[in-house]
Amino acid sequence: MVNVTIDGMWKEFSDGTAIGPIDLEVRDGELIVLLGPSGSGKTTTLRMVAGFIRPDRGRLLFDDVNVMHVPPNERKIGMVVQSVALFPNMDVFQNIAFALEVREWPHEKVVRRVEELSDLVGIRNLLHRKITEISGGEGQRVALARALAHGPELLLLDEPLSALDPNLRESLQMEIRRIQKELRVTTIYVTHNQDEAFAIADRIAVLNEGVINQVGTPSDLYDRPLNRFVATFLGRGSILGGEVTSCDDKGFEVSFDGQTMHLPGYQEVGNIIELSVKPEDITVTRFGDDGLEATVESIVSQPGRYRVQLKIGKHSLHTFISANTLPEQFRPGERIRITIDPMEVAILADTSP
Amino acid sequence: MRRGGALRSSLMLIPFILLIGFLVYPVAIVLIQGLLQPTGSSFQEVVGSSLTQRIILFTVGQALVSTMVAMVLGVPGAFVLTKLQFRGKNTTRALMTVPFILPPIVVVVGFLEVFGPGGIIDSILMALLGSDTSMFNIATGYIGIILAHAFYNAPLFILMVSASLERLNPDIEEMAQIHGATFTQRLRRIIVPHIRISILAASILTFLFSFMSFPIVLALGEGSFMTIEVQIWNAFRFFDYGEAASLAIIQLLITMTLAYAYIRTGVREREVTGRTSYVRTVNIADLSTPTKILLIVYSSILLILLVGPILAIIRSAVYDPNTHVLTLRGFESLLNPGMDGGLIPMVNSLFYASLATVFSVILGLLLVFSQQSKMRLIPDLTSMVTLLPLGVSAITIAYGLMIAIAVPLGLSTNPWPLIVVAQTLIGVPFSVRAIEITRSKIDPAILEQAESLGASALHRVFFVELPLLAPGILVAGFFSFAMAIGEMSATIFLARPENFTLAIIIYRYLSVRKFVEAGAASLFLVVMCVAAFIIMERISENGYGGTV
Repeated sequence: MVNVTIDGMWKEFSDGTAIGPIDLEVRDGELIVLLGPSGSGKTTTLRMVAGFIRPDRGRLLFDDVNVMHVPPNERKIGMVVQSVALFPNMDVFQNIAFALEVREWPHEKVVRRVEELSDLVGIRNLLHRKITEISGGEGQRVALARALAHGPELLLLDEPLSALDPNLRESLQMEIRRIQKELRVTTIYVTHNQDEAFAIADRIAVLNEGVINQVGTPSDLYDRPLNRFVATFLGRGSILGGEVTSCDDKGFEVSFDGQTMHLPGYQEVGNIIELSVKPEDITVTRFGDDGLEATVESIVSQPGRYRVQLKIGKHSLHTFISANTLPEQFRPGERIRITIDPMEVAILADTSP
Repeated sequence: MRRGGALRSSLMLIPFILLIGFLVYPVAIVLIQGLLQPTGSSFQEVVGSSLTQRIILFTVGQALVSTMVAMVLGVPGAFVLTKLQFRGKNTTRALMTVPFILPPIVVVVGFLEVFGPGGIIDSILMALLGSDTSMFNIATGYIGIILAHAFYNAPLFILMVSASLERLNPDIEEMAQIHGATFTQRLRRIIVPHIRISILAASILTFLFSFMSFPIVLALGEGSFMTIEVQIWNAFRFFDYGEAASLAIIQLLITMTLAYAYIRTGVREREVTGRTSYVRTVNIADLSTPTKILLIVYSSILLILLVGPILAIIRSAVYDPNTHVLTLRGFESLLNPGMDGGLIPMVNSLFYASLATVFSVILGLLLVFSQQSKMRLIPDLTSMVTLLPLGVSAITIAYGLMIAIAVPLGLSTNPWPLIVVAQTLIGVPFSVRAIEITRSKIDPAILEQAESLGASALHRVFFVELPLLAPGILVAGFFSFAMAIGEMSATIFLARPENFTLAIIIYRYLSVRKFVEAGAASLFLVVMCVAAFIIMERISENGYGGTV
């Protein structure tokens, strides 16, 4: 398929908002997810790759060829959008056949290809339905088949499953993943849903305010977030900020709000650092002198567990306790002890908020 | 409760009785007389005559050509209005409705002033080429008729097609593009199938308009071009009632078929189009140079055709092309109370139009109320009766009123009440529409509240419903007024010299080449109609009213 290089792509809109500069490499056959909250510039980035929005600066390379001035219909792209956007004046067959017919494929070849694709996405029985006669999930399958029909080198998926209910969404995620791997088509997938990104991605690029914050495999991002945004958006982690008070060959000590914590590694004494702590790395106990002292702020019941909101000085943290642990032990306002697994604590490289 | 019910039923009956008495019955008499007891030519003679065939052929032919020209001029405008981002877009859209309320005879004056001999374009050409003879005239004759019809109907195409384009989800077009479709392929396979129905609907309306066009053909055709409508008038003037009635029947058959076809497309449009979609617009600055040039050429043509005639009326009111001098003679004549002056026609115009406005608003209100009726058939029947005046030509209505009411009642010596009736009938569909739009915006919960708080039906109507409908009633009033004050077809048919309105004397001034007098009277009508338009827009801006 194709190797996509986005190089310094930048666009400013008339209302003053800007996207970029975006630098991203999408490897041949890879599925990369652009993940970010709404308004972060994911869709704009995707539409720049598609050619619907012309960037003010930067290059877009498909296998080292700059396609910036190639019109969308000549970029060999397949695309699926949230609104599905099936052609209302055509039936399912005609929708899937569209890209082939505008390329003037012979009729027998079109029929064979449409049947092949409808088998791949599991909609063979719907081929002669009108598009008003199919469900939302079926619509997305048709849209996917339509996008793949002409054998695109790059597949762009813009929140394709956002309009569907959670169960359907999960099963279609798996299917998109299967089809993508089977066809080995380079894919850029836009979503604001972390679970969806983790379920489907080879790598994830996290976008915030028009800039890519971090790119990596799901576990990279989860375990080693580079900044506060990635840590809180992805890991739903808590941030602790403090000053390095001492450092030796066993590690360093960081102090916040009068308490100290030992961590492995090296840090310059006097540095102000931020730590990202994931909820599952915090252990809560009522008694003992280990770890840090915290105050319980609230306990909220969730399916199979409790979410405990804690406070250490001015820092907020949260963790989960299982339903088996008696939540009555932890009343709001009560002082308790917590221990944090030092091996799992991520030190944020970028401490700007 | 029973008294309220009886009152409501009798109120609902009033518009039906009036419309049957003043519209259905007279038209029926026309048909019966034409077929059964013709005075003059019989139906067979009329149908068989080569003149009739020529007239029908011309009427249909010019309507077809007018429709095509309006389409060619209007459809690109729909794309510009939908897809381009530019300053003043909403104003442009609003201004597109101005032609609808301009009296045709005024447009004739504007056309002559821009495109006619001695008109603005001609004067410029003469000055440039140093010639002292007129060298440019596309205002009169076939081209003039077609262009004047396009003046009215190109905006209709722009508005109807752009409304349809706005309902096309932009994702759909982009999906076609990304999957390989070129611009022409997208146009052919996605866009045209989507806007087809709106184009068809606008075409039928344009065809109907051009088919029934009277003042434009009469004035710009200068006697050498005749549509069925003009020939009905001629036949009536020369006392061949048989021919007039036969032609009215032929015309009615065609217009009713088209009106039915139009209603059918309306139904289909509602079935196939989904929600109003957001539109992705392109900034003019982002267009390629050839596209920009094309856009400038197109907008200039549209500007000259649509805005030119309206502005030119100002020049026509003060510039005499016969003597080449600026003069206020036109306005003097407009205030002259004498035989040939404009004062009496001006008073007549205002008087008839005001009465017609009041009547058409009252009828409109009653019709809207009976449309809400829960009784079977009543709402359908109401819609049908309401649309009837759109399918029957003004000349046929006037002819029917003349033979069915004026003659038996001895009103033919001073038939002014029938002028008011005709103008009322012509305004009814528009006033119903305007009131209906406001009615549909009223939250039914408010009316239920009134009822649950113990208001009687009368209370509810007078203290809750009518005040809420006020903006719609105002729009209906101004729209009806604009239609009535410029009405010429039925009025010229019915009026005796003492009943002449401004529209009629403009036509008479034109035929004796009194251009400044015609211009001044036209300017007065334009000012009235534009004022009505501005007030309607102001009311509609608040989100309550609406017209087209």
